[in-house]
Amino acid sequence: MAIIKLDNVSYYYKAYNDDGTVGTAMGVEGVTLDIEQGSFVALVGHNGCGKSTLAKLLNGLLVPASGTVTVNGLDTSVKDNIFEIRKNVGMVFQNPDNQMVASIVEEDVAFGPENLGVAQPEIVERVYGALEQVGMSEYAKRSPHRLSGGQKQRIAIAGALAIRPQVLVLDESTAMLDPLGRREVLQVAHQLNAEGLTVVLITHFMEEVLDCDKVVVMNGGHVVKTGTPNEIFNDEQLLNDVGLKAPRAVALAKKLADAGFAVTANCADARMLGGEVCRNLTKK
Amino acid sequence: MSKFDKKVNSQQATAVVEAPVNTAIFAYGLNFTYNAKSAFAKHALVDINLTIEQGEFVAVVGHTGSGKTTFVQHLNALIRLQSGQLQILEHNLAAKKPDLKALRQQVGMVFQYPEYQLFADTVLDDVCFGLKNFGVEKEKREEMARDAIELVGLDFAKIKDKSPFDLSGGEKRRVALAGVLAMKPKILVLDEPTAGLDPRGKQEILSLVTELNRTQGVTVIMVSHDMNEVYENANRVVVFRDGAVAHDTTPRELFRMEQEIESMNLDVPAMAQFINELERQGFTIPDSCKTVEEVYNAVLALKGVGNA
Amino acid sequence: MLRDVTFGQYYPGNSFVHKMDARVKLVLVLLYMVGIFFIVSFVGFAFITVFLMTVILVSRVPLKSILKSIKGIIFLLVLTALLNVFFNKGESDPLVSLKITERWSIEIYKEGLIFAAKMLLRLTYLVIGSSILTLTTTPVDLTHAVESLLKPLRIIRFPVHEFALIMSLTLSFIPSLIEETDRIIRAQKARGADFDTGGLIKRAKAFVPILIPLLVGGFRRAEELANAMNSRCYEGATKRTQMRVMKLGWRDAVGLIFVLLFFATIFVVYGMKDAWGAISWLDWLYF
Repeated sequence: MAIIKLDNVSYYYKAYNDDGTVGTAMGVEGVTLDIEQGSFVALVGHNGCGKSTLAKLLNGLLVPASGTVTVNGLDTSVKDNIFEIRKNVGMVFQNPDNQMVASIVEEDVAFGPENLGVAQPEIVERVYGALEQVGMSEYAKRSPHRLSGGQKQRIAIAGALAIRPQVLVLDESTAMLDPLGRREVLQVAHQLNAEGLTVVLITHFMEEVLDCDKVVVMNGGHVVKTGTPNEIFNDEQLLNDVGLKAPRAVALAKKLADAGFAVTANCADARMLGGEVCRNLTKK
Repeated sequence: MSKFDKKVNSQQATAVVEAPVNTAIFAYGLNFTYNAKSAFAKHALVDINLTIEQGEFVAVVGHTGSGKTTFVQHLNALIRLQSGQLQILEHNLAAKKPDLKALRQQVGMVFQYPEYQLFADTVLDDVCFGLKNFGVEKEKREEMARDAIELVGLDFAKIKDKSPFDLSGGEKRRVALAGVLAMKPKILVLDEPTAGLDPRGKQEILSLVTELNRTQGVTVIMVSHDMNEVYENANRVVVFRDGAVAHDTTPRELFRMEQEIESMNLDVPAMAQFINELERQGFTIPDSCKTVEEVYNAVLALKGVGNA
Repeated sequence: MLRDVTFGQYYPGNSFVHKMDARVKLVLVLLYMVGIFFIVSFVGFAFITVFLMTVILVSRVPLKSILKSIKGIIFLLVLTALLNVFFNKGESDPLVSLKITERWSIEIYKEGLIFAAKMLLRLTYLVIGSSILTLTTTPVDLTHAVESLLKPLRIIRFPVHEFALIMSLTLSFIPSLIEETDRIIRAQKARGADFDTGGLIKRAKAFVPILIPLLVGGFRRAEELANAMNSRCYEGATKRTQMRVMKLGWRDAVGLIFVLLFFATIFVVYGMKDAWGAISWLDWLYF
């Protein structure tokens, strides 16, 4: 069942023309997309392809110029639905420093439930539950600014979880992190997905989409292809056109397979691929 | 040569270790402590000895807090030398009053997210900012700015009068880079120059830096977290750990030590993992093979040998 | 380095004073500030000194940290004292008289010296008192205390929640703003910017390349923060609840009684001076 449905959605930004008049710039155009309940969906494309615009359409931060976005059947363009929609679609952004509303971890995580008007004892329960889920319980009383980027993003995720959403949207939440921080965030995202949360991951790191259920490739404001990671990685022409690259190991595996080596297709583990290639080389 | 030797000798009469002629950076017994006299004292650098020749492409890697950022900030005298020797080109930073302007003109520094430092009304003005500060006269400024803007692959005529804030993220980054390159630095220090960029943007910046290094002999010091990037571009890697240099070797040698690398929470590049596995099973891949394409060709060559 | 500047000056601890409710402490400090203006004599200041020493001992904050807070405003203190020395005229002959021009001379009177000394003490004690509050209370707790104490103002439509939210957001953004400023300064320095030489105008101009990126960055931050807050169902103060519960404990009662008794005495002795003035054997209190 689709929890979020986009039907022929377009969005245009206000932009200034060279002569100073106000015109528009396309954000996304004609996007139709279903996000299935419980799935892990990656939205990929180069910077400026419209993927972040699309993310902001998912919880009504932006409202489509034409077409409709519905969350659990609620239309995001109806103002009275917005609160309910945001309760169901949590969102974490790119820069961890710009999302903190309090200078103590637990108070930051409490911000969402406080806004919902949850009773005090339940706020505490939710805050500590959420921190537990992202593995940050021991940092509850600390100040976030001394933490690493990956830890800050986990706290931002806890802040979204405390609202108890059905969908978590990670809007380029790994873009500013180092590899270790990226791994932390992805691990948490996959674990939450395994527990039943629907996850939408917006990224341009192709290594991150390996374990997703569905990959949506965007270019120039349009969805150009939707498929499994394998289907996307196999489409070399497409990746080239949209300025993305398959992970190195996957690219090598594909080349070797094409050259007649018996290797696992789209093998992301370079070490394993090495072993397979050795078997090919010693076969005779 | 004699010019700077004299300088060193006059400033530091004792225990002077001489810097060789073609040296870009020469650090000896470099120490640095934050908040030296307080209870929060933190030893950021401990006895760093490092010589980098002109024309090298050195990657500097290490965990957050390993001292790598403190080290690279020394190269531009953004951090004052506390103890030890540091010679950058002909500038002795242990001298009482090193010529910081001349030094900074020769050592270009590109910070993390350099586009966040753009400020001028037009791209041209922003790129000229450094040139103006270093006293380049007006007619020459525009010419040098044009060279730099074209060098980073932007259309000078089209972009020069635009506001830097109206550009796309990738263009902003390149304008910021042009602002540093305009001064024609001999040493280019980059702190995670590709952070936040998409694959195409990353490739553009890396190609540009590699090109500068290869064709113009610019010494490149690049701080990076992306080990694939380090593996494919640098010809030397310096690993910082707890304020000291833990490893200083070629990327190929470094990434042969898989366990050591992983113990430092760094990634082993995919192609290195692949080659290491082949080596463990008795196959050799030339050390020059680093990219997917090169490794692929090397494997084909191995197979060819096997078939023959 | 800029980022080493500690904002707020909280001194972590577990003392009686640390554990008191921030609201009670805030009210008591306000009371103290009013009370100190009733004190007109050196004997009174001696009382206050004993009082402050007691509080400092109980709070277990090192005296050094407290004196540090005075260091910051020492210029202001000295200036105030000097002005008072020069501009207070007494009834008796001046102690010093320096003729500068025909119409203008510097005269220092005994009364001026005494007045200045008292003013100096008053201001110093004011700063010490409030720094005990900030040293033993986290900025976060202070924010909550302000919000809680201002709550009655909601009746006159004062945006109490928004006010507290602004304080809280400011606190949480200070560290990253300091870091960003630091980075921009370094980056412009690396491009040859010079902030240390030249005249006033040249120096002021040199700050443009710092201020503009900061401002632009500020807008970028604000936008992302707004999105983050909206995504977390922020809709203003309506029906909002709070995780933090502030509870009054026995310490607050003890602290409150101690301070109130002390200031009641001060008020009786100094505030109602006229009533006592006639009793000559109490004159020493007013020296």
